[in-house]
Amino acid sequence: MGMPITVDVVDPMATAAHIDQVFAFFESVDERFSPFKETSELTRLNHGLITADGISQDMREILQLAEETRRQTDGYFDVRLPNGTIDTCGIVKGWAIQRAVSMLETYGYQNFFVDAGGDIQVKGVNHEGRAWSVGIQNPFTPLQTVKRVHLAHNEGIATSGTYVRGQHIYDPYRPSRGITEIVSLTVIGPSVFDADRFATAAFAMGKKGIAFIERLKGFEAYLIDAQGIATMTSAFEMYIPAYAERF
Amino acid sequence: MRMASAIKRVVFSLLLSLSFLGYVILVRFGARPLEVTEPSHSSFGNALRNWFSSGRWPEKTPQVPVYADGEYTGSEIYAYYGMLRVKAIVKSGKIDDVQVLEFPSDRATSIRVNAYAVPLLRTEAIQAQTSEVDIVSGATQTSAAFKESLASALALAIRQ
Repeated sequence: MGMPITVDVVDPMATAAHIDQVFAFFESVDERFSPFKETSELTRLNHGLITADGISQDMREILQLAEETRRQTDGYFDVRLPNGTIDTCGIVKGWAIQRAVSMLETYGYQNFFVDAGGDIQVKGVNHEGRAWSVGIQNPFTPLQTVKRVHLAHNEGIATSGTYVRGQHIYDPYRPSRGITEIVSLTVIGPSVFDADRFATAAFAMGKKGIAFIERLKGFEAYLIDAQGIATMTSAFEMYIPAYAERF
Repeated sequence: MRMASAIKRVVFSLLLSLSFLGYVILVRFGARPLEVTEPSHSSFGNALRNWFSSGRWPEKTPQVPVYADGEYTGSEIYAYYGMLRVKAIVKSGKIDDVQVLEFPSDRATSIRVNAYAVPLLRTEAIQAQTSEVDIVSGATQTSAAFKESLASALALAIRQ
């Protein structure tokens, strides 16, 4: 997937072999779903070298999840590009993190996080035995963070934005028009898989995206526009430490 | 004689008021608020001309204006709670779509008005926070080119 991946396991019995298996899984995902590799299953599917019947079980699952997400987001999430090819990047990352989390759970670990390119699933508590603290990257100054959230209930967090790799998200209803009014949208939800796909779709909606997340039960969002003004959903504050400490 | 002169005066003042009314209508409705191409003739102008030449009311009053196809951006208009600007799209001579380009959203009242469509949510100016964090959520890797491009665009925006 060409992105930094971090796996941090707090549990003292963690073994290097288990962590290596998780990384090997991410590598296999990249081999199969990279749109940049000539040999990947995705590229072969796009070039018509394999038919719909010949795809792997994982590819079938991802295409089904993508279709389900397309319907849930009024078409704003769509793995089919205007030129007819399929790009599964918008869904594979969250799916892969979720699979990695399942692997770590199978190994018996209870306190860890998995971070793939800024999309994160946390589990349990951090090295100090407290809630995981996650900073939201400043879209204008990526070495800074602009908000700190505390994740204490195994949440997933994902950020979609235009500030990296140029504009990699477009509005499927107006493909020629880039999304410039908002620069970053972070979604917190019960799983990184859902947070990731809904962040991607909500980002494609532009400023309306925050209203879309507001209507989604169990999800909160923090949107940053091109002027550096942030808008948050009504219960986002419960993740902000100063607010949480009041209760 | 005096009677005829009085009638003439009445007719003249009537004519004068009607021409003024016609002029007002022309100015009011003949102006182009959306820079839409003017109909090939002014219907009110024609109406007045017909009346003066034939000496009777024209049978047809306002005609449906003919618009040239295209997209036309309107002026910025004060809309009580802020400024509004729209774009009209004309297809086959008819207004096919009107898009709102600018909508008042910068004042408390307008936020209340807009709240019917979008829920009222808390906003804040972002600022760097200095507390330690375990992890950072962001949109994948940093692109120096994109940052530079954005900075130059913002610099231009400030100059304008």
